[in-house]
Amino acid sequence: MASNITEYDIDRRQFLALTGALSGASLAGCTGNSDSGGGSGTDSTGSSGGGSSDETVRLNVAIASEPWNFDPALWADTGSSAIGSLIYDEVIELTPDSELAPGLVKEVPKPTNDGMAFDYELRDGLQFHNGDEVTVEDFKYSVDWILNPDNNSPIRRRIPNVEGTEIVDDRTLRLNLTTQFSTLNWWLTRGLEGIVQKGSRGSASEREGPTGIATNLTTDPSGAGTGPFEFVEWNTNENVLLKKNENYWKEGIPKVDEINFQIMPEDSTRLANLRSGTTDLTTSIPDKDFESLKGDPSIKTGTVPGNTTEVLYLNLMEAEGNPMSNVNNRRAVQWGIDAEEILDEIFYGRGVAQQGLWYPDSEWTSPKLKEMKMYDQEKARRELEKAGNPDGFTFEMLITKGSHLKDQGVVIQNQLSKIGIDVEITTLEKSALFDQVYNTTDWHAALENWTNAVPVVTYWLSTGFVPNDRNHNNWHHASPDLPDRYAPSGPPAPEDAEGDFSNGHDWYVQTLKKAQQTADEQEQKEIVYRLQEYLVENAIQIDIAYSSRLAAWSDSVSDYQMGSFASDIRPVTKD
Amino acid sequence: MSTARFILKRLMLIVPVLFGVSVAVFGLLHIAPGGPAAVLLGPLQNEQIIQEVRSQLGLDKPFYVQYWLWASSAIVGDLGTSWTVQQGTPVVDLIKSRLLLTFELALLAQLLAVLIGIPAGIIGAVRQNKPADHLSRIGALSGISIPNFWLGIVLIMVFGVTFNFDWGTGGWISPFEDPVANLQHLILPVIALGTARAAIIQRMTRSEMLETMNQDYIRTARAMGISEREVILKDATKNALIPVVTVIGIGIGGLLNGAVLTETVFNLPGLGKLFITAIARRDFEVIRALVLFITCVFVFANLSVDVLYAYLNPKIREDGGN
Repeated sequence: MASNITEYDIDRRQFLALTGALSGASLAGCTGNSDSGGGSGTDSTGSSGGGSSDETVRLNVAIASEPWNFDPALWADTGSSAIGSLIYDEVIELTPDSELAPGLVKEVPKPTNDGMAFDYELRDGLQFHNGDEVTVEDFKYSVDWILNPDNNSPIRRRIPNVEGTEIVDDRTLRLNLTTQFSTLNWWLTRGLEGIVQKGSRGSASEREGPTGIATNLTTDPSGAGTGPFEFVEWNTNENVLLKKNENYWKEGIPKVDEINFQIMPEDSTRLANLRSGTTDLTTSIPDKDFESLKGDPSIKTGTVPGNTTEVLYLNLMEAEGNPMSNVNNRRAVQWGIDAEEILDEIFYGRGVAQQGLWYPDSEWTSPKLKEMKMYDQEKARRELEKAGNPDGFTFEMLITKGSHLKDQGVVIQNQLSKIGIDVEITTLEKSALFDQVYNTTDWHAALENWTNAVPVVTYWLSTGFVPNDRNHNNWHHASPDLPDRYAPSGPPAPEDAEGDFSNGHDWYVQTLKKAQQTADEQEQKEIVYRLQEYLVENAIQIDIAYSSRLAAWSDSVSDYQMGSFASDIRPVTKD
Repeated sequence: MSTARFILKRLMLIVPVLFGVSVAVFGLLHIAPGGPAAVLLGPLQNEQIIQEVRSQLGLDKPFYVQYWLWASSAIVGDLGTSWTVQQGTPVVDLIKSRLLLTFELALLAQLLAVLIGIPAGIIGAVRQNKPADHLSRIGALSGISIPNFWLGIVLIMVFGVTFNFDWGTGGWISPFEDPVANLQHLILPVIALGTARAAIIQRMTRSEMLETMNQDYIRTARAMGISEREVILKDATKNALIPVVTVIGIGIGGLLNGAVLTETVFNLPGLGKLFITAIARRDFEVIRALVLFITCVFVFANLSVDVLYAYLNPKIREDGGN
């Protein structure tokens, strides 16, 4: 045995030497084969701050999630929109003060043709990044492409009541409406986030991937935009690099040479990069970390009321064992939730407790709701008695896994236990949660947060309530696997409703349509108030609180403008 | 059994392994709720459009048809294009562009683990129950117990934030652009990933050394007057390291898994980060390709270890690998 060992001794040594050599060679081989991808984003993530040797001022912005799509007709996420809004220009801009401003057009138009059309006149001298002039033909192409149902644009729903376009003159495009729609310009701020060159999206046969998901601009919008920054490169999981558009139509901006969006999903990594100076600005900050950032002298922070609402969806559909089909049970839950405590416990006091759907200090919020006491245990107990559940009941609350929502769910669970309501929490992955909410009747309540992009109350009253199929509350739906869309779900129309309505939802949709049509602000307000009150009276869903928008940036950065619905990074300067 | 036959036999076993893994992954993705169409189109999209997109992605076809279409393409190297991570980009390109980083990270972490684990294991065995051994065992226990993502965050806070090293907050620089900066940026990720492996190797080395040092031939060597250093390093260590080779080999595959968290914490655009993104976005094409790739790495690492082990230990070959 010993002789055997001796016999192999030399071989092993030779073998180890050979292994070492091969390891080195294989490592060299690996490096040699990966030239194309490896180095592509290096200078961006490796760059430590602002200026490089040629005095290029680069602003490093850390974002939490990868963008999806750089075609403005296809993006439906805020991540793509935040970057895309620098590559393209909105036709009608939404300012940080939540006001309308002309973007690519000379002015924000008033309706014409008895309120059945809007005329949009392009600014003179607009150019795409490739140097070509922006024409009315490009404008028409950009709108028509979204309106064409064959293209399955996910933002088609953000240009409602528009039946088509026509060229009025060589700078003016008319949008023709199916019905009067006074708030169209507000909807267009997020419905027309860019004009692209005619034909630039390619034909369906040329595209990579299915319709509604990809065009030629999806991953490479080089030369396509008109915005303050030009697209340079997108390295998945790493960065998106933009460079200054030297011919931008707006005087004085942009003020930095490059913006490098660093894709950093991990919170602690993002914040460490901000603290170390590798990142200049980030808007993705967990509430729990915000206070510590405020205490850092090298970092500036900002907070404004946000456009994300914490909401408890309720399944109105009558299904076996669903306690939420009973309006009194729903109301008991509504009056049993203390939004102020949730803001304190989960959002460290930052945010606004809701009095119904809309911002409580807005003139568009029902005065009756403004006065209403939303957290009222006595009222909740009375509702339980009316429901025949004086000792309470049990329901299941679905919550997205791994988020602040779980903590929020525990707070709600504790609050409702005080009035005898037992909450069973089930955590699900986000898409699985929505799959269950949209496509089944097998759920009771779901805690989620929801961001709406347009600061118009009629937009919020529509989204999630009106569409026939993707409805948050099973108020109605068109899914063939579920009962009839107007099966007995949800409350009836109000007793004083004028007209013949088969269901409360039917009344709601028709009444909202009236609000959207009228140009009379007072009339619009009265309708909106009535709809908001109806949602609360019947506890269609429970709107809890608006969380705040947070941002932090290094002290070398200035002129970042934060807004509730739109922030502006274009005028940012960096020392 | 000859070495060639032994290798051939092991190679043939790879086929059912890859088939089984691919079917399992395909099946799990098939039944997972919230498919790619819904994720792609967002929560408020029209049900009809979702069905159209499902159809265009081929997700409405029966399971076995989907599998056949995918497998027949994968066999010839066509792994499809990304659906949701970077739409339309060939999956092979996405993987290729990240291979260098992940392999560099895994190999350097393994190297660190070997450089720490083997000497620490030998010292622990030679100085059994003495302070050096206790220190070595405490180090190993810590290495195994501390999650690498937590260690990564601590390292970033110390080196990136407190000491403000520009390489201390992660990120990656290609070795072709700046080899020194490349290694600097990998120091902390390699430490975070390599320490747990070092602990495993230390424990394995120590126990094997203790067993080997009680063998008759070691006593004989000592009785023959060979110096203690020579006995330990030449006679004991060489034989004790044979099983350790197995741990090191298999560890290469394990490091790919560990790289998922390490790359996320250090913001390294490697295969692990790609995997996380693909799972979150239900990019079935990328997930399948990555699982297949990692399976191949595991299988070939195992095969290499088996062959190496058979080479180093003739008993394995003689009984046919049983």
